[in-house]
Amino acid sequence: MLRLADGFVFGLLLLFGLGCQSPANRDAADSVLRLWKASHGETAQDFEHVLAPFFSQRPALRLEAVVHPWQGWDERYATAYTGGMPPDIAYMPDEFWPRFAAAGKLAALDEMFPEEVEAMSREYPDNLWQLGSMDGHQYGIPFVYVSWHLYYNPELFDRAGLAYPPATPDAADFDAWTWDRFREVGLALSQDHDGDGVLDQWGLAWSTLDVNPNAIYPFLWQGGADLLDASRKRNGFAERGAVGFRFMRELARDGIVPEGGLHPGPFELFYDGRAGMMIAPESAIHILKRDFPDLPFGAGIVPRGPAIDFYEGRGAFGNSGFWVLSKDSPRPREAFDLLRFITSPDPSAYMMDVVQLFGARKDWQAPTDDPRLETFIRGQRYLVPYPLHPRLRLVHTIIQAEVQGMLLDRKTPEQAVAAAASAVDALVALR
Amino acid sequence: MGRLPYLRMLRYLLSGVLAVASLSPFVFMLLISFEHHRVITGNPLHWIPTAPTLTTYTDVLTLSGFGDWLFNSTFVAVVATLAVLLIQSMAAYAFARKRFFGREVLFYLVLAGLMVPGSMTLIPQFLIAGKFGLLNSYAGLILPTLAGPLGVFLLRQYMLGIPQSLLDAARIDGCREFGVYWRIVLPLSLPAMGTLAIITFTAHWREFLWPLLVATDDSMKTLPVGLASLSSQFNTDYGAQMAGALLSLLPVVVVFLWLQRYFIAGLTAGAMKE
Amino acid sequence: MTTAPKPQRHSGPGHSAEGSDRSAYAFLAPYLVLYCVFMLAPVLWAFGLSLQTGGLLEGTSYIGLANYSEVWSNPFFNNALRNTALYAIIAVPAAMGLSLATALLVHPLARWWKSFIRVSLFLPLISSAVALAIIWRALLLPGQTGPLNWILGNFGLPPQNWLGHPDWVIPAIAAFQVWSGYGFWVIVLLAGLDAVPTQLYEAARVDGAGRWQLFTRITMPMLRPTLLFLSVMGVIWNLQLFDAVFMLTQGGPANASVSVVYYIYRGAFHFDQLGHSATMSVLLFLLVMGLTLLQMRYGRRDEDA
Repeated sequence: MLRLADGFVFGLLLLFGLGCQSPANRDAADSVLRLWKASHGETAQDFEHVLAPFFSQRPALRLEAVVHPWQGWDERYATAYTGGMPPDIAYMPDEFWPRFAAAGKLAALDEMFPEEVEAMSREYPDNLWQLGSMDGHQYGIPFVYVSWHLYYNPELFDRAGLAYPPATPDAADFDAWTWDRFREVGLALSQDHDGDGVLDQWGLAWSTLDVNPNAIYPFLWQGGADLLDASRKRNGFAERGAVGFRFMRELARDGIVPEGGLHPGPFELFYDGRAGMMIAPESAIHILKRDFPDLPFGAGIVPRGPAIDFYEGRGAFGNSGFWVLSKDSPRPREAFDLLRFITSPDPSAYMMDVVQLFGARKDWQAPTDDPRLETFIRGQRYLVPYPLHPRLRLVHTIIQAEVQGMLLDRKTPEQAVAAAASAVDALVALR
Repeated sequence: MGRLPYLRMLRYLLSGVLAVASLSPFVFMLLISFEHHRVITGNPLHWIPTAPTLTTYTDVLTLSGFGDWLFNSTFVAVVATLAVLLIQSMAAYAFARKRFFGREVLFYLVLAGLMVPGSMTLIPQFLIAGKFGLLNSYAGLILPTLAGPLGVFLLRQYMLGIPQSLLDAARIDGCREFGVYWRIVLPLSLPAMGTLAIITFTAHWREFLWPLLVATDDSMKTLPVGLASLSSQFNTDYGAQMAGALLSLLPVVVVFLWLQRYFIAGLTAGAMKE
Repeated sequence: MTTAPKPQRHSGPGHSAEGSDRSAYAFLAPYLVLYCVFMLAPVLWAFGLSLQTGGLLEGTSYIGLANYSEVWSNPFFNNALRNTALYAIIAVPAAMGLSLATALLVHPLARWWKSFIRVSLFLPLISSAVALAIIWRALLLPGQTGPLNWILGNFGLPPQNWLGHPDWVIPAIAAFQVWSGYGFWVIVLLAGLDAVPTQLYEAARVDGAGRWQLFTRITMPMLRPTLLFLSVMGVIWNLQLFDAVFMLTQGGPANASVSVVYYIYRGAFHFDQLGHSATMSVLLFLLVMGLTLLQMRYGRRDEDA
């Protein structure tokens, strides 16, 4: 039945399969500049287009741009930087890159290209530029910033007879927009329409199950606490963090947030018109306009916490994303030139337009078509930097778990803060 | 049993309910997939599409590397299955019908591999694959998965039942060793080979963790990994997620319905052979 | 093929009369090479890693057996162990009871119906866990209007936050495991029931045995090796739960749904604790090995009885 010929077919198929390596591996030796970025909606073709002038002047070089989803970011980059070939330049947000820098995988740009970096430093706002440096060295050049603010549903506010939240900290009614007022508004918006004793509308579409720590940190910062102290060697919230924890617990207990703060996907409720407010980044504007065009929405500033100075209490929270250069890049000079090119005014403005995010450069022109964007644009000034630390993202996990435990009534806010503080201390002390 | 017809009816009814319960998530997936539903909770419920379209399907097919993922999954599963059949049957034949120094020890060593959980070998396998330059390649997706001893075990048990006299007769007729294997042993082992083929194919098709680590390039991803990234990309769009899930299930369901007799016989035989 | 062959005369190369067959090594070589590179070496490497501390990026350093003594006092590991044990404890008996009931229900029915049952139960088995999890993530949305809650509401049951509340997340994921795996059990049990010779039943009925006695004295004993095999396989499968946790909860509210394998994975890739993860995987290996050996021992005894 089976003949030797079949064996050859088998063998050929095997050889074909096993020998067939993906093009990415084969190009290791060619003159390729490799660029990796997690997707904000752009594609590799966008990079090829905007970087064409750069490469047309360097015919010996070729671009290999990889735009990949955010999911699996750690696995992808950890494996690339350990096992195989890391990209020449990569995009890393402020909380992501310190780990790679501390492990010696990123080039200290100020050492390698001091004059150019010095010149570039003047093109960016200080607070964003600082987020790209650690231990006195500049590792990243800012590219975008994302700030989180308060979205609200004006229709629900009208029905409840409530005044809209202030749009900027300079608005007249901003002084009155305190946590207490926020809580009142949230309570008024949390309603049971069909009278069955169960809420079907909530004040704030918020949950601690969200992976993004910006859901939790505002309440720490607005209370006057920070993640790490100035020395970056201890936690920064043991003394003043309880205020924020307590406020989160109140939000859950009062029913202002759905499912006691443990809803797996709360933003949906806002998109469906069943929540009065949500705290989200500016990218939500584009989701709303594109996918939920019938939903009215406004943009406002988050409420003031007990910390006296809005600037001290972190008026806006968000992140900045950076381009970094791999230390093991075989062509550091060319890669750095590419980095300079992509962060120069025209290419970066083009990419901002593609992804509909905000550019980090001082000379970046924000779009003026939607007045609601004003809130987010102004937010850049109040963006106070995250305390950079290689293990910062693990701090998220610790704090998040403790907050969730508190919301489940397993710990009091004070106990949760103390537990989180000691865990963070142990974690940070490892370095 | 025929004495109590209503009891029999009850059996049909109850098992029918179980079958429906088992199938209902798939029905749900089907219903949701025909509209870019953003929200599926809410009053009134949004399960039944009010304006069904196929845009969810076309969007999934065009906006993602779905074609690549489908090809990769198919290619990896087919090639891996063929490779396992060839390589492990050769080893099983050696264990079953050949005598050589260290046979028992080696066999038990191989057998011990059955008890190794995947999570133990995951990181080292990954580091080894990295050192050999196998990341983001078909070789990396296929080669490490060929080392599992289940096939060797199954086939060896089966081959023990092949009479030695048949093999001797073939040798006397002038058959070389490979010929004995190819012409006598393999054809006789087809039932077990079929079982192994189905087990291997299904396992590769479903495999998630290993391809997640190895295939980070979008063009090299297999279907489960691609689907996972799709679901985070279309985070609030349940319609698109369900369309993606259905598209990824379709190929293997079609194959299964076509070959279901062999599937079930294979998995049963595999289980009973323990 | 031919007439009876003359004994003890093997022609062909590499074949001595004593029987040691050098060609065996050629047959073995491809598989053994793969086995050594991708099974043996990783196992040894994992043992080695468990004696070290450090991460993927930063590199590792040797610390001896410290990981093994620390792991027991690690609350996160204990949490993962506890969760995983709960998954197994809930899922395996539920699957066993459900599948046994289903197999017994369906066994005497028409062949086409059995086919239909097998197909409908089998679908989750051949589907990728990722696709199934996507469906269940939508089904398990909280609130009165979440799909599963709405169905339960029609039966008068209160809605739950299935994936967001630690009290419910483990049963929810266990239910997912049962739903996606029990088709295999049913099919194997059906085959097991088929293997019971009908003469046994007839002889017992002639002796006046009632239905219940037929079940307890004939069916169950004959099925016992199969049930034992299935439950051990089920426990081992549930011990290695990963896909559902990864897709549905990423560890769940306050680490309430973290399973051992998910913890191992997260430790290695997110927390830079390679040595830690390797240690836990070694312990998991020992557990699986213990269970398998137990099953082999008791399974064999049953067959001899």
